[in-house]
Amino acid sequence: MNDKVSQLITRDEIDEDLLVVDYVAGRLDGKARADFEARLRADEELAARVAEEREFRSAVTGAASEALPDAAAFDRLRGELGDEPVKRASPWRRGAIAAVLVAAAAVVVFMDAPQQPVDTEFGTLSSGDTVPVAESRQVRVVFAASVNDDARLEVAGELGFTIVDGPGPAGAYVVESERAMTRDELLAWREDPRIDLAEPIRYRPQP
Amino acid sequence: MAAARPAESGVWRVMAKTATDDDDRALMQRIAAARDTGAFERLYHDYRRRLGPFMYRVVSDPAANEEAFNDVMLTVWSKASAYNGASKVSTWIFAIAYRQCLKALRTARRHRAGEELPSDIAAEGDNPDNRDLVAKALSQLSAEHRLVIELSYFAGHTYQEIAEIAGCPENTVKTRVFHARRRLKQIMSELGESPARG
Repeated sequence: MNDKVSQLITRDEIDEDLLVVDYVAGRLDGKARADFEARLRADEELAARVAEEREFRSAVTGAASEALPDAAAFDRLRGELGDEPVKRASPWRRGAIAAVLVAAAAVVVFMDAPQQPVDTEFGTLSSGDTVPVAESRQVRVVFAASVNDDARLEVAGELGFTIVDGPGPAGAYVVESERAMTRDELLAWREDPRIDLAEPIRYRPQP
Repeated sequence: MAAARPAESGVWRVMAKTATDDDDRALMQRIAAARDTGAFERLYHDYRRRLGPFMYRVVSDPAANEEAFNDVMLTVWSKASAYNGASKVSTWIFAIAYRQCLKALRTARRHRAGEELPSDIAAEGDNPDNRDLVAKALSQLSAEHRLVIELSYFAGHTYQEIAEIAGCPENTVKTRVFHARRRLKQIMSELGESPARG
């Protein structure tokens, strides 16, 4: 295990930090808020962090602009609506039944055949209809030569993975995502200029 | 004697939020089932106010911003029948805008690599120095970090909502917020003002 792995931020540290953020943002209610305020009275360091977050939030949100797109922009869009194919919209209930049938069919297909990745450009809000490209959550990553130790940790935080081992042969790190990655997610990593290579471990081969 | 304005009550704000989502759902149903342009126009102007500022900050060029916003709403129009009611309408629409903004930010970042940052990126306001500083600092964040700050600090979404919008686990959102704040503080400090020790 690389020494740098021990420098990774723990989940507890992140949760504690965001507790301060949520308190200042007014997102803690009831018992959570009371518990936090009890800690606040007894902990000067925590009080300093709260003051710091208040200052940061004020600086950031004070820069908010309320500029809006021009109201007349709709007139420019209106013409395009007519060109849109008018799809026969099924009643939602019928759609729900169809969705159940499709899901059932998908289960049969899943049991029978290797998975195909699904292009989910706008169609999904959850991971339910995306297909993991591997059987594990681990990915072998080679960072670009320009990415130093600190930058590696930053990339990990940004893309939401944890470095669990490395560097190994060819400078590859084993990293763990929070869930098995989909094709689109993996492609997005590969497009990142700070990553030279990203290959899922225990890849699920496509037909 | 005039009645107290209910909008001042926190309970009323919660009720109004619920009613707004119900209104949105009714409009979406009319758009999906009847291709009702009147319903779409109402939704458009509502989201011009709710989504517009978010997109305006991310896509700062006015012409590009209007085009990007119209692209999002055109997707809402054409994909309305795909909305399945599992999330709030606003979350669904913000998810479309999120992808649009992600692409715009990545493209802008590639084009901007090695160039000087624009000095007029911020809008005029009461505190132009601070706006300029924050706008410049935000523009130096990665696309993912920029968007979690926008959605959390400016648009006021919860981590769960941001996870739905971004299509990733809630813990990933929290990790991004954590690192994005650190990075933003660092950049703001480097740009000459340190609002926090971070």
